[in-house]
Parts: sequence; C-alpha cells; structure tokens
Amino acid sequence: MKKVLSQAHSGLIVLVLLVCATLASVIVGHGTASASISAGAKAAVIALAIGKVWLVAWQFMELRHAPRIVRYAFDIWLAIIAVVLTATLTL
Amino acid sequence: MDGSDALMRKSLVFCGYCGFAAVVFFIIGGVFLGGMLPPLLRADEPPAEFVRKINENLMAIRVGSVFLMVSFALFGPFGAGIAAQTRRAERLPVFSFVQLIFTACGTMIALLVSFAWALMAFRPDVYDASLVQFLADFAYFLAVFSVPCFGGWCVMIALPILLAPEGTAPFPRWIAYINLWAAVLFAPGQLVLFFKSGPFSWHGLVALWLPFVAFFLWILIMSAAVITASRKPDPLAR
Amino acid sequence: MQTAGGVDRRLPGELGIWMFVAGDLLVFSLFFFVIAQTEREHAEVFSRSRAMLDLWIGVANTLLLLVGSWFVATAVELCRQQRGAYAQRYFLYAILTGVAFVANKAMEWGARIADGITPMTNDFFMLFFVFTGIHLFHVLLGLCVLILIRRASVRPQVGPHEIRLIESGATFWHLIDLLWIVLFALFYLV
Repeated sequence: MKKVLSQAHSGLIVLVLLVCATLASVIVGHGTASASISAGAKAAVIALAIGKVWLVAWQFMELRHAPRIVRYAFDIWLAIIAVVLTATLTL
Repeated sequence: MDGSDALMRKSLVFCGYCGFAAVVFFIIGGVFLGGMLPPLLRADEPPAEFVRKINENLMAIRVGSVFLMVSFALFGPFGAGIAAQTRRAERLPVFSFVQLIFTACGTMIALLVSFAWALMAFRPDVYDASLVQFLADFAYFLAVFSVPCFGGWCVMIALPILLAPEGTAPFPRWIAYINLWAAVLFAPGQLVLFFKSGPFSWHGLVALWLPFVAFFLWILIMSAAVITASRKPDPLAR
Repeated sequence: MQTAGGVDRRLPGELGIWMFVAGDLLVFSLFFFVIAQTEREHAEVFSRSRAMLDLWIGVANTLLLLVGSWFVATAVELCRQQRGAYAQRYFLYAILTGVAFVANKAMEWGARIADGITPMTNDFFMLFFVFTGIHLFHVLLGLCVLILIRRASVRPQVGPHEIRLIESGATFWHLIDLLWIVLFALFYLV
C-alpha cells in the first residue's frame, strides 16, 4: 500500500515537472510570423523537449529500473537527437 | 527423429534460404543494376528525362529486371515456409491460410513490378515518353502503394504468435512485434499517391526508402526465424 | 512480479515491445531530422505557416498525453498490487485523455482545412499533416491497446501473464506520449 502511494507520488512530481517544462517551452518558444525566435530560444526549446522525453522514459517507461545497457542505449540515442536537432536548427 | 521430420526440417530450411536469396537477387537486380533503389528516376521529372536516363542505362536495367523477376518469385517459397511453421502451431490453420493468400497476392504484385520495370526498358524510344513514365510510376506504385497486402501479411504472422497459449507459439514472441513494426513501416508507402516531390513521393526518404529497407530487413529476419524454427519440435507436441 | 524499488534490473513488459519501441524511435528520429532539415531550408515558410497553427491546441494535446501517461503508469502500479478495480478506473481516465486528443486533433485539422490549408499548401503543412497523421494513427492503435489492457486488468486473477500484457501495452502508450513531445516542439514552437 505504502509502495503504491510513493510510486504515485514520484509519478505526480514528474508529471508536474513535465507540465511546467511544457509551459516554459511555450513561453520561450512563442515565435510570431514577423519575428521568428532566436537561435538561443530554439536551443532552449529543444533542450526542454529532450528533458521531457528523458523524464517520460525514466519515470513512466520505467527505464530507472531497466538494465544498464538499455538505459545507456537510450541516453546515447537521445543525446544524438539533441545534438543533431540543435545543430540543424541553430547553426 | 524419423524420416518425415528430417524432410520437414529440410523443407523449412529451403524456404528460409529462398528468403535470403530473394534479398541477394534484389540487391543485384534492384540496387546495383536496375536503378530501383537508390532511385534512378524521380517522380517530379518530365517524361523526356525518364527516357534519357533509361536509354543511358538500358542494358543494366534489362539485366537487372531479370534478377528482380527471380528475386520476387522467391517470395513464394519464403511465404510458404512461414505459413508452414505457423501451421504447426494451429489446430485449425486459419491464420496460415490467410498468410498464404497474402503471400500469393504479394508475390504476384512483386512480379508485376519487374514486368513494369522490364517493359520500361524494352523500347523507350518507340513508346510515347509519358508511357515510359507511366511504367516507372506503375512499378513504384505496385511496390509501395500495396501496403494492406504486405502489411496484412505481417499482421497475419504476428497474430498466431501473440494469441497462442503460453509455450505453443510457432515463433518467439518478439518475432510478432518485429512483424507489427514492419507493418507500421510499410504504411507511409500509401503517401506516394498524394505527392510528386519531397520525402513522401515515390523517390523520397519516407515513402520509398523506409518501406523498402524495412521490407528486406523483414525478409532477412523472417528467413532466419524459419530456419531456427525448423530445429524446434512441434509447438503442439507436448 | 518484480516491482518498484527492487534490486533486479528489468524492463517492464516483454522483450518484443521494446524492440518495437526501439524501431519506432529510430524511424521517428528520421522524421525529426526531415522536419529540422526542411525548416533549415525554408525557414521563412516555416515561421509564416507556424503562425497559422493554433498553439494552444498543441499545448492542450501535450498536456492531455502527459496526464494520460501518468494515469497509465499509476494504473500499472495498481495492477501489480492486485488492485484491478482501481486500476481499471485509471485506465478509463487515460482512454478519455486519448479520445480528447483525437477529438482535439480532428477539430484542429478541420479548422485548418476550413481555412483552405491542406498538405499541398506548402512544405510545412505537408510535413505537419503527414507526421501528425502518422502519430494520430499511433494514438488510435494505442487506444485499442488501452481498451485491451483495461479488460485484462479486471480479470479475476491478474497473474504474471496479465501483468506482462498490461506492462507491454502501457509501454506503447508512453511511447506515443514521448514522440508527441518532440513533434510538438518541432511543429508548434521552434
């Protein structure tokens, strides 16, 4: 019983973090037709999205209990995505 | 192991190797000679450009088409091998029957791809240029627009594995997920009808490369799975 | 069944679903790259077209999927504790968030098409409709999976077999959430 509660608790904390990150990325990334957002803001939006992806995988997909090899593979994939997207969009 | 079991093993191994051979023949005929992948032609080019490129590679495309014909004909035994293995785990072989229907349809569609490809290089100067273009369109449409047939085939392989009671599945369970994944990857092929340029046209990354690469990877995995399964005892014999 | 806080390292669900997840992640990586590369080549078209999207529909859809993921994760934990009656309620909430996502998406597409914007309009909307369409297809599949695992969660005996099925289905639902996070950033924000 206690375990269920603590599990739901940590899940709830992660959910709040995810919602905050979403709202933060909207504030940072809200470009308009006339002035598209700066390179720094683009990098920040990508970074926030990557952070959210990592949190979803870590908490909800339970990578925190996964074998190390799976976690490393996922982290490496995510790092590559982060670098490639940031480089393509800002450089 | 009695005599019939030995024949069963050999026939499944034969079907598995037919799958491998289909991939090898496709690489020779479609990749190195025929210009099917990477695409020699582009969906957004004018018909005259089709005729020029085909004339430049006339002999290679013709020889490539012969190899393509062999490759696609081998889908038959490859599919029969998979169906025979799922048959071993089914009392009423419904999924195996449906698989065979899809195998037959898929083989026929694939054979038509190489017909269209060969005709395209038969007399490109005599045919009207737009007819040459049509044959190229037709070949790619047969290959990637036929999603429900090939995707349905994959789903019909996945279902008897996923639905089988514990320990009686004809293939390891992860094979079912690979098949579902392959079916999802074929799906963007249907976009070719709506776009003539960009990643969703029949020369594009998403509508051509993705389904083709997925398809031949799927054949390799399923061929290996059939050969491995041939060494296993009957799933229902326990 | 191994649960949270245990020493053994394990993946939830069965091996196959993780192969599916890995394969889907690789394919969507390709999609993400295509979007970013097209944006680089047509920055002007992208920023002009992006202004025509309704940002708050995108935000709402992101929040729906995030909350849905949390419902599913909580439901899985309840199933492991053999509390299927509670679990199925959480699965139901998750299904409702998914249905709301689909309805929201349909309204969004309908509004764009009413404005005269189609996949043929420009490169941005071509990618937008196709990739969010492929994602929507995943959501519809995911809803079927959620209905399936909700039914498994109320079986009288939720054994290892049911848990494996429930965990596999939940993993697929989280994958949908995860992919949307990146699509949302690329289409609505950057």
